[in-house]
Amino acid sequence: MKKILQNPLALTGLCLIIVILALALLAPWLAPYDPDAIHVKQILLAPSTQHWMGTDGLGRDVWSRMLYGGRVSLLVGLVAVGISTLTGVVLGALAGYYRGWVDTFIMRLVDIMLSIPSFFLILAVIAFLSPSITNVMIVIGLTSWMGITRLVRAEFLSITQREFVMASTALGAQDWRVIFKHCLPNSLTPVIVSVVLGIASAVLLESGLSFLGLGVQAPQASWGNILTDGKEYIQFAWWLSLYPGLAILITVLGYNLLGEGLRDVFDPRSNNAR
Amino acid sequence: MMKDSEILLFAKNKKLPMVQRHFLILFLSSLLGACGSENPEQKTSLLNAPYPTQTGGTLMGAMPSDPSSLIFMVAGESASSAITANLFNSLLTYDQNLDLAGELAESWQVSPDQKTLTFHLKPGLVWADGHPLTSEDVFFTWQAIIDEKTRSPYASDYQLVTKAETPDKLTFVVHYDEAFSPSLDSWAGLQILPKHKLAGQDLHTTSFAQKPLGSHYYQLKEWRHGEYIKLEKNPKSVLGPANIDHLVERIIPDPGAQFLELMADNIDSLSMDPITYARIIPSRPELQAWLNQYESLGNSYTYLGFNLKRQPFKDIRIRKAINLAIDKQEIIDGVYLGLGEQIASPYKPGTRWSNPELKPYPFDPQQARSLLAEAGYKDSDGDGILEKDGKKLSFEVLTNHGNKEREKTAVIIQRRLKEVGIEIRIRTIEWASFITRFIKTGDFDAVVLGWQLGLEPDQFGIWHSSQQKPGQFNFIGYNNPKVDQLLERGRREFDPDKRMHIYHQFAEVLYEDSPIVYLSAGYNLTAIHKRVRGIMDPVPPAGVGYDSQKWYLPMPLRRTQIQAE
Repeated sequence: MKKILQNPLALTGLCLIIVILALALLAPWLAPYDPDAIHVKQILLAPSTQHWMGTDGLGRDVWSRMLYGGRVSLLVGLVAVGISTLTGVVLGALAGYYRGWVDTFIMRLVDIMLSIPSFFLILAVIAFLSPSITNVMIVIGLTSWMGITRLVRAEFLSITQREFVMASTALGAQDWRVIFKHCLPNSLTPVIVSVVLGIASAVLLESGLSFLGLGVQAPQASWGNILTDGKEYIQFAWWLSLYPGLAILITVLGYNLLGEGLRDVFDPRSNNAR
Repeated sequence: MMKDSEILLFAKNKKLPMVQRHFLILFLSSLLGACGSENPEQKTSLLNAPYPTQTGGTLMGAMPSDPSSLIFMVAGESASSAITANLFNSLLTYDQNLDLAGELAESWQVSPDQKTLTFHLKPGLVWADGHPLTSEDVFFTWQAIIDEKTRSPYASDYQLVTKAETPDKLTFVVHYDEAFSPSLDSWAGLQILPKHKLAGQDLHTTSFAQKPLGSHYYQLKEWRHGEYIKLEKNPKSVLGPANIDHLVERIIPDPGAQFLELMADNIDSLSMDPITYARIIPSRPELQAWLNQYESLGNSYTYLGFNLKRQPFKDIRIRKAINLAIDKQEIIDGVYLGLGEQIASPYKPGTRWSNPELKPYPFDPQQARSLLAEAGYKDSDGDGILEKDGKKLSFEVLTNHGNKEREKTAVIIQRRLKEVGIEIRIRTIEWASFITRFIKTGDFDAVVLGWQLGLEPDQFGIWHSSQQKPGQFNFIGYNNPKVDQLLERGRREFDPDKRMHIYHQFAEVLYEDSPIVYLSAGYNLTAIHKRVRGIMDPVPPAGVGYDSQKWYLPMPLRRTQIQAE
């Protein structure tokens, strides 16, 4: 932990994320207006003391919508990555521990999944199901676990050869005990980095989908669909595009910085070098 | 910097610097030209000065896509009609007050049994190539549109003709099995094609579709696909020559890019959305200085339509409650920035077909709540949504993806209905799958859509109970014998006053039944450069483009033509 705080990259990332998370979590208390309240007499007002980030095409307060939209974007990011991590770790552990045909089967599955451009896969699946926040989370989760599977499998391949694992197997420990008590805890370090980076790309994916109208549906706000609304008025209502754009940028940057920082911290080679 | 390079070039070649300097001057003047080379006041007074009518000049416009064909009965798309309306004439047309008038026809008669129409063509009509235009051409065009091979989406009205005759070169007679009053409108819509160019050809593959020959004010000069279509004045026009020499329609798919071109003064007229019209232009005085803005009520309306074959919409109280719970003025203000009108009958307000007695449903959430309570809905679990027999009053509203105005309308409706305890989910779907997957199969709860109407009051296709098959227009499943009967009567009646009475009654029954919620009729919004003169002001009911052959471009205001040496 101390090392993390000493790493400037990780620290900056962490600060950005904490700020964004805090704003999103405190949205109900921070938002000055109901994010869905329509005021047709106050359409597209420029930022002012009353509306810090102006109002949108239906007279809704953009600052309030940004706060609530942040909740959606971050929730989607976290849940999607939760799903992909769980899937990835379980499959990677199975492949790395049992090897043989289990390994072959899982790794070919990974290859197949990786060979399909994931954004188009997501678009296709969402078009089949109806677009909704739950579907978006599940679909993003189920199309981004492959990297983690590979990482975990690789770790398992080397860890299962180590003495303490062999000892435990020799003592007659059951498979699940060896996997969960010995192998997993020792292979999670690279996974953590990958998870943090994964959140960044999930937030970006969600924004992209919402931008295309396939993500979070009206009236619920998300950064992506605020940005879509802004596209229409970009010539004169810059605030509708700038703020959600910035929010996405800062969040993604935050997670990426933290991820990179963590990688430096965890990587023994870079530690020695310093 | 410039000087250095000049010296450098000078050393190499004596002639070059001159060229270089010319380039620089050209470049600078084009830069200055963009910001207004004359002093602005002088320019404004030039723009606002009166000028006599004169001929010549080029009018630049923009359209979103290339037409697929310049034979409208085959293409059937607005991109095609935007061009062909300048090339071809019809037998009849509508005057500025939207009453029928003759175009190629000098006069027309309805027989006493109302089953025969006789058109008398004006004498001496010619095509742009000098070939005479006769009733043979009209007959040929009628045959072409009813031909199975033409597969025209507009064939149905013409297929009702049982027999057509051309007793002489100036007379065209059509017989119907029974009286069919919308037929007159159909003859105002059929663009007459030249037989001598098209006889024996396949309308889908003929080169005529790319290089047409017409009889109207203009003829095609040049068509660069995906770039522009240039029309040239037809000196032999059957209605007399137009004032402006050339019309150029540039193909610019994106409305944002179209507007940028207008701002750069590369196009003269543009129709636009309410935000651009009422927010962007007024916020830029420099634009307002050289643009005239025109608004006129369009012939279309947006509505919330219920699937009447599904619950809970079979219950008239639910339909009325939803109608009362929606604030239409809020939608007009919020979505169209006030540039629209509430309507109470499915016709353009102010026309003879619109029933002036009917007033739009008021916004009355209190009455809506009591109607819902009367229908047996109450909020028993306290979640804010009403229930009946354990079933929530909740439904899905579909609209087509990419139509921002409809999407916004749906969001406003969602908000208002929530206040009376009705939950709606909005789903936007790409147009093609919206039609095939949901509308044609009838698999929807409610839709936010619009009807673009013709000038003919007959709405048999939309409201008659026989028109509910997949692909037909009564997809909401409206079925009312009274309306069926009125629509049938309206189709047999030629007398405009009697027809008016029928369609007023029809609108009244619809009003009582509330099968759809009329949301708004929007304005057509156009901005035109002040150099374009002769535009009818105030805008007649037929719209700003009416009589555009009388528009003219005063010489001092014309765009400077850069000629290659």
